Amino acid sequence: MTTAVTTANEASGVGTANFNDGDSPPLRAVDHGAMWVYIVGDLFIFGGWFVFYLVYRASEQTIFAESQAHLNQTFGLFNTIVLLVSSWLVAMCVNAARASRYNEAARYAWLTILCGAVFAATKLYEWRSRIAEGRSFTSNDFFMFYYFLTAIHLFHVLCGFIVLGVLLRNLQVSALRAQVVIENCAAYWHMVDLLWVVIFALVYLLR
Amino acid sequence: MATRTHLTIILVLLVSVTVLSWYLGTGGGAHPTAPNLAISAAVLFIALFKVRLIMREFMDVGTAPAWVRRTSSAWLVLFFAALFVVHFTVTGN
Amino acid sequence: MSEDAAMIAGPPPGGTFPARLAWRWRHHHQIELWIVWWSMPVFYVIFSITYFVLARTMPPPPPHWNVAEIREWIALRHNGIDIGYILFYLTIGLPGWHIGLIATLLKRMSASPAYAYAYIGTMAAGTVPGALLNGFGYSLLALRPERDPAALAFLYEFANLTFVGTMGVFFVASFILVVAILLDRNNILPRWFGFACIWNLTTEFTVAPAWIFRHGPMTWTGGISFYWNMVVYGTWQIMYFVVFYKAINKIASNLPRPQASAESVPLNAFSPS
Repeated sequence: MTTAVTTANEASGVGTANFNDGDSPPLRAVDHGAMWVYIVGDLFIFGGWFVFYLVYRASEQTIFAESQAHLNQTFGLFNTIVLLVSSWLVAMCVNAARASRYNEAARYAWLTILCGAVFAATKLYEWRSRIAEGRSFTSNDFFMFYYFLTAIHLFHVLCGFIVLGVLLRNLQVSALRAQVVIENCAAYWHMVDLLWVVIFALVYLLR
Repeated sequence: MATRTHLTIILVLLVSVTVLSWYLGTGGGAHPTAPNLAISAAVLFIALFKVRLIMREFMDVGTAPAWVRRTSSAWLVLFFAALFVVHFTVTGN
Repeated sequence: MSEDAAMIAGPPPGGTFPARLAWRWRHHHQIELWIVWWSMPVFYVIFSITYFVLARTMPPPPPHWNVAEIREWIALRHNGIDIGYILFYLTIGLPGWHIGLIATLLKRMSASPAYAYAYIGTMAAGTVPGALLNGFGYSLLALRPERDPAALAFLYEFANLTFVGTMGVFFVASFILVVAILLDRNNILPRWFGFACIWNLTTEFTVAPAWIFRHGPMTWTGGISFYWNMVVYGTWQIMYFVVFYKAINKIASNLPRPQASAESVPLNAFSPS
């Protein structure tokens, strides 16, 4: 099994270096293509929305500032840390997979999913709290952007569960294993984290 | 090289600047609403730093194909430039 | 015969686009394939002329207008709406043709042929709110401008919202493409395009708030729900044309050609086995 994967890795250009201390060589360039097309496109799409947010913020500064104070920035901080940890976990997963330590990689993948679930649950709780206070999607422009950006991001997190599921299946079923799929799934999850980092900065913290 | 130690160091760095960013942006949890040029700049710079770190260290952009490196760098530059320009000129801050 | 020799020889290598077109018209033994293909660009050109040049109902007018403003806007476009939408209604069947062609492509994928039929179904369903009803609304508005103000306002909102706010079917159609392409092992379409279709899914989401807002960036003519969405959708649609053209070209170029003039081309040469 390891031999087959090693051969496949050699075919794709990944070397069989000494993996004793967790070192792993980077994957050859051409393997990442398809998912990166999606990631770059998504970054531009979100980028456009963020710019719109700032433009509207500029024209309604007081409303935006006052509304922002009603957000729970501590939850926002907690959510950001949860996603950063999940990104680290999936990076560790890829690291283990490159060294053919697939059981360890699968454990990291499960933990990543757990972090994603914690993020989703917190987000829903946060929304519920805001709505209970009477601050909904139509309250004002700030909350329109808040719900829109966090909802579209949450949709990406939910899709991320499917992606992580594909990753897990890839790790657990040796017949289906392909390093490029593992790397692509991880890249998607990093994108989810990356987008949240920007949302946290712009929506929760920016003054 | 993506060693496990290296990745963990990156995580600690990311979390630290996140907490710093939160502290600056919320005034230590006090939720001030007054606009503040310096703090906004700090928050945006920290976000830029985090995004670049995630891209380079976690997503291995450094070893990705040239077109990936170029487009992601282009996005980083264009996007954060747009953010800075819009926030600091249009707001009149 | 020189005719058959040209057909068997194939298109001139390294030829210009007009040269390739000329070869196909004269010598391709399944010219009907290319006729179907051309229904796609022809339809989209007519669609664009109707909406952007004749009727000028794109970009859409804002949701917060009162009846007087609506009447004035219609009056300026009266003849354009009449002619544009008549042309549009006459050609609205064209997508059926090229969707059929795309479905045969989908059938060649390793994913179940159910995906091809699902794609046909969803795109057919999408034509009704996404094109026809929009036309109906505007045509009715132009037909009798002295209509009761409440009816006028209703038709105005109906025409605009049906076009922008009913993107659910196209959402599912794009999703079908995503799944079919990513599962496909026959490399009919490039994998990156399967991922690119996900962008189109996102646009269908962002347009939904048009049902809620009458001011701001998320109305049917808003910065986010319309303009930025159009940038994303337009980019994707261009990729769609290029990707499908290349895929069909690849298949058409590899179709079995008759070896001698006596031998007839087998029936259903293009159908997947």
